[in-house]
Amino acid sequence: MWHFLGLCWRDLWRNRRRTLLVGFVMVFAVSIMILFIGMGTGAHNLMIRSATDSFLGHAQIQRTGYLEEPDLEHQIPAEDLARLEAILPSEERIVGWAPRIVTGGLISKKHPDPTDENDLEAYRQMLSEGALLVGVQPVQERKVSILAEALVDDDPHGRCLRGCKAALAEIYAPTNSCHELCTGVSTEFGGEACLVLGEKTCTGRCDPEDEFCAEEDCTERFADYCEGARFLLDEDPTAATPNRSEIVLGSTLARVLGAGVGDRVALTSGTSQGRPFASLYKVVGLVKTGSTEINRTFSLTYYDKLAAGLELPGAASFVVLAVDDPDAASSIAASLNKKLATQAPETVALGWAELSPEMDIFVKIDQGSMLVMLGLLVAIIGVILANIVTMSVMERTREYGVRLAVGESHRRIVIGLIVEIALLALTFSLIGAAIGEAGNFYFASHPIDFGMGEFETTGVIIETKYPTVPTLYGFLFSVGTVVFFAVAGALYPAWRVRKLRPVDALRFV
Amino acid sequence: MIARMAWRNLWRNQRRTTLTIAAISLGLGVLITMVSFMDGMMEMMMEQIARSSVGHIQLHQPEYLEKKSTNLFMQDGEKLAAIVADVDRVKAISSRLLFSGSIRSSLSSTVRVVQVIAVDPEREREFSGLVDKVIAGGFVVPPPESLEGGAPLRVQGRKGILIGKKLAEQLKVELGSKVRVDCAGFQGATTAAAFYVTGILRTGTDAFDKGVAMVALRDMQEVTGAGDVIHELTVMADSTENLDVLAATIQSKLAAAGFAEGTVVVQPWYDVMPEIKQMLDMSGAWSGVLYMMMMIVLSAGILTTMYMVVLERKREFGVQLALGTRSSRLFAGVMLEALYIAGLASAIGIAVGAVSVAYISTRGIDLSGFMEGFEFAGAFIDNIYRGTATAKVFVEPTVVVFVGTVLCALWPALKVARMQAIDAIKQGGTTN
Amino acid sequence: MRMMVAMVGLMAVVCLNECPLRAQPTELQLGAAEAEKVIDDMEERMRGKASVGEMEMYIKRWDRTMRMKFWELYPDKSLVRLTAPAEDAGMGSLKLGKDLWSYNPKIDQVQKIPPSLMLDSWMGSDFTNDDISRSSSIKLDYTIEPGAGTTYNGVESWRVTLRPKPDSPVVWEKLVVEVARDDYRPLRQEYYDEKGSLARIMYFEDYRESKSGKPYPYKWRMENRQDKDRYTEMRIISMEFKETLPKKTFTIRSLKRGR
Repeated sequence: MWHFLGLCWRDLWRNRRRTLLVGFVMVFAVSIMILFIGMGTGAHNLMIRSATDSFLGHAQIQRTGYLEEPDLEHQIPAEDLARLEAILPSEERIVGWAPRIVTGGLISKKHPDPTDENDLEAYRQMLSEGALLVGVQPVQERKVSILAEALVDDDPHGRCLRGCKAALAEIYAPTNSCHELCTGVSTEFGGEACLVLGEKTCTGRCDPEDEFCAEEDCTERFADYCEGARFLLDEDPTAATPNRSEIVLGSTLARVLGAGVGDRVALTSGTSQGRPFASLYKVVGLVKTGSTEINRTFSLTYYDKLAAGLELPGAASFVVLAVDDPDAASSIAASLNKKLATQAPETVALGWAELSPEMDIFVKIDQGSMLVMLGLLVAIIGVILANIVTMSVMERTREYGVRLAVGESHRRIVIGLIVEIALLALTFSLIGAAIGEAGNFYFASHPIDFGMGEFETTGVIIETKYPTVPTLYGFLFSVGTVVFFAVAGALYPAWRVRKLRPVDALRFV
Repeated sequence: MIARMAWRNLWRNQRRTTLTIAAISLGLGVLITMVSFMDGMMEMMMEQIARSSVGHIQLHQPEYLEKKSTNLFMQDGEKLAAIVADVDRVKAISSRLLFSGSIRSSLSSTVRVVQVIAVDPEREREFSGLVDKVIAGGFVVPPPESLEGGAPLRVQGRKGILIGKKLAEQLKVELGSKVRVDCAGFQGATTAAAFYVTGILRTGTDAFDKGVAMVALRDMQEVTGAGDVIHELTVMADSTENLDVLAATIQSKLAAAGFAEGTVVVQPWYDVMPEIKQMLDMSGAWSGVLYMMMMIVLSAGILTTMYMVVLERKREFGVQLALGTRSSRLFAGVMLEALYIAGLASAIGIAVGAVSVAYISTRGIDLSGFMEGFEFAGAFIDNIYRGTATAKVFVEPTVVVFVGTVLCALWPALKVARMQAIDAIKQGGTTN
Repeated sequence: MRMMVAMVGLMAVVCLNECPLRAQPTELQLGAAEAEKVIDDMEERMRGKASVGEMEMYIKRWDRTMRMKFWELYPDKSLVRLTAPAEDAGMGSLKLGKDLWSYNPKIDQVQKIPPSLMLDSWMGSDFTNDDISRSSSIKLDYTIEPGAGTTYNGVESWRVTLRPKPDSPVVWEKLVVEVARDDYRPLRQEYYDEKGSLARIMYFEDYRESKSGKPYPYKWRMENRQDKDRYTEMRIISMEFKETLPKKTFTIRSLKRGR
């Protein structure tokens, strides 16, 4: 058999030009297909990731009923959570998990009281926003979401100033205006000077002439307020103080509240026991994620403190999971459920498609349109290839005539023909595949930029810069398609060869 | 003379010519189908979006879109609507008020937060794809036919409200149930009002089924005591062309009528919802990429085909040269042949394309079996994809393929022109 | 709370000595005119009244008891401050007209309650923020139907049906007020959903004499019949009717600092 293959191969190369021509088209076809599939896969992955990595996660474990009624009555109780924490590490397909506790509440910037305490208009203006308070464990979070990296620092200078003013105000007098504050400190400082003062203090450059600064070590005292925007720390620095903690706000929420890093916000809600829950938070950072919903309503704080505050210590609203293959999230969740049914029957695992059906639909539509486009591409490729192969085989009619006349059997010629074409297709499509995948690898780290910035749909922000993804199925599909159409193109002439009479064949020029 | 010879040359090898033409025309057919499909998708999305509350042009108080504050309304809603409706090219308009509020019923302890949209039911009907999603009752006002059975009688003359199915389930209400809606009215004043469920809708997306309640504009104006004010006026034009011009026209007509620029701003939909435009641009970009890829493959194919054709006939050309035919004539001959091929292929390609376009533009590709529609930027998008059948769909690809074919023949033609007779005869014809 | 005051008013309307009683009806029917007169009398008496006192609230759902001081000025001003349990002491809510503010000393923040939370429960009880803050005007919101006579716990009573007007923002299909026939003190009040099932019921108990000579209930309980095993019980510890209360009682400062 190998001998036969060798012969076919040799036959191919007898007319180099023709073989190369056909091969040239095949290389093109395969590399284009692979690139297209790579782009499509890249876009698809990006879209899913921007939803899941920012908050949703690939999958979640929730208490049954939480999806329909996400309130404090449907939390995963502490015992179940403990059991989950025992099971999860041994699951191979789950690469990370993080519990979160979530509740809705009213958030407002901590405004100093208006000068006239009975100025109702002022109090009417102090509107609160509805927000979601999310308790997270920063160490675990890093494995399941990009929240910690989604920080934005919009206004470092202003932030420092705000922080300083807030600190000064808190220390010296509960007043609003810097002028008054300064007047309180010293009648020599006017409003402007106070701002400058605050600034100096923040950057630690104290002027020994400044009576104010000379009193203490400014840098140390106010350093706290001028630190950079950051995420929550691995260890909660506020663990000891009741009703005070740190918070990271969604960027849009912060903007709406008029709050920035260094400001204080107040959040009120209710505990699981119906008692009022209220706490002050210092804003330490802002995040901007791929979801407008998150940016508009989320605020993040320390899990332990929040859970305790809500009178649900050790419980969780849900556990976020990261899996090794996001596309398989639903099936991973399904198999996890079998285990959960016995070990923690009140909980259920859900893939992102179940968590966000709208996202699922959008992804399906996107996939659908990609498939349609691919189909069209394949159609063109098929037509062209079949045509070229047919023509090239037909060209060789005379050759076949000669061979028949010399005594070769019809069968051998036909089989030889098909094998030749198959070899040709395989060889050149492999070359094309190499080129195509090389392209995919390249674009994987240099994403193709459509230059349209980003936009939002179904609550998700979509980028227009796509890294391509080299895939096995892309490779197999492209090569397979080309080989298929090449052989298909050879079939018609092959069929004709069966009936060929050497006499007719030789008449061909 | 050359022309006729070229034509005969073509048909001397029927099979070869037929195959070539077949390939090119099929390729063209596919291309046409693609353009039709892509265009169709685009148009469908735009139309759906226009129909789903976004419209073609919108009017707002200048800061409303950015701050979304209830107090940023436009005065004299009726007058505004009348003036806009009168402008040329304006087909339909609808005014709205938007609030955030909570809703409850007597049948359940739950209280839900919803987006309250106050519309003029008659006008909104023409805009809103939601009309088709009503599964019980009517669109904000009960349909006159349904005047039998207890519920509709009860709601006659009352303030009606249209809510989603899931919300109805949570509140445990049905047609005719009374609900109470509290919202932050104007200037922060709390408004509480009673509405009766006159319609239930089901879209399949939570955004609508759980989170939206629609009421009549007049009712809301009365309840909030605000009088003739609106947050939004949506305009449907006769087409999606030149919306910026139309917007400017409307703006100036309003200015003339006393609505200063600072009170009302008129914008085409892509300024109001840039994300929709971006998404459409994105789709367009992908189509572009696909188009380009297809063209590359098609060109490679045509080039190769033409080249092969010429290669095959080397001997024949050689003989002609030997007989004294001038190179330039050979060249012209090849080019003419290519022209014929291009022409025939184009004609057939158009025919093939026409058939498939006819199919997808009437029957369309219906995906609604797989899934319901989805919500995008507050619009609800259905799942049947139709291709368009405009001239552009046919003309553009045809021109490209025609020109491409002829161009692809250039190189081989030049090769022919430079042939030496003896080499040609020696090498030409079949190979081994 | 509003409900309480309204109910107190309703009950306190017909005093035995001052108001000329219509002739005691012999058949067990209270005519529409009579029922209406009762309401009228009550509203008339409530104009310009104020009260201050201390009470205890027990919420069965959370098994929690709270103590609070209250000040009320008809028609639409009220202030409540928690005094117990200790960790919640200092919290309060202030109502002025339609606006409601709440204060939490732990964060020293006054927050205006947005309208979307008006229907949320007040302090975790079975009363809503709206119950607390609604201005009463029974005639505005309800039509009064003729009543019927019956007995309740051995006491002869009248049952008067109040039907919310179609456009009034009351979700209930109807309310039934049951008052004692002799002195018209309210015994219980029933709230029906639109299917006719009893959704809530309020009981009035522990009637005591007051300075003005009209006995009023020192204990009332709101039961939620839609959700199992939920009720809230308010017990007045001490209460005083006054002619009026100073305006400065009902300010934000007062909410924060107390008096």
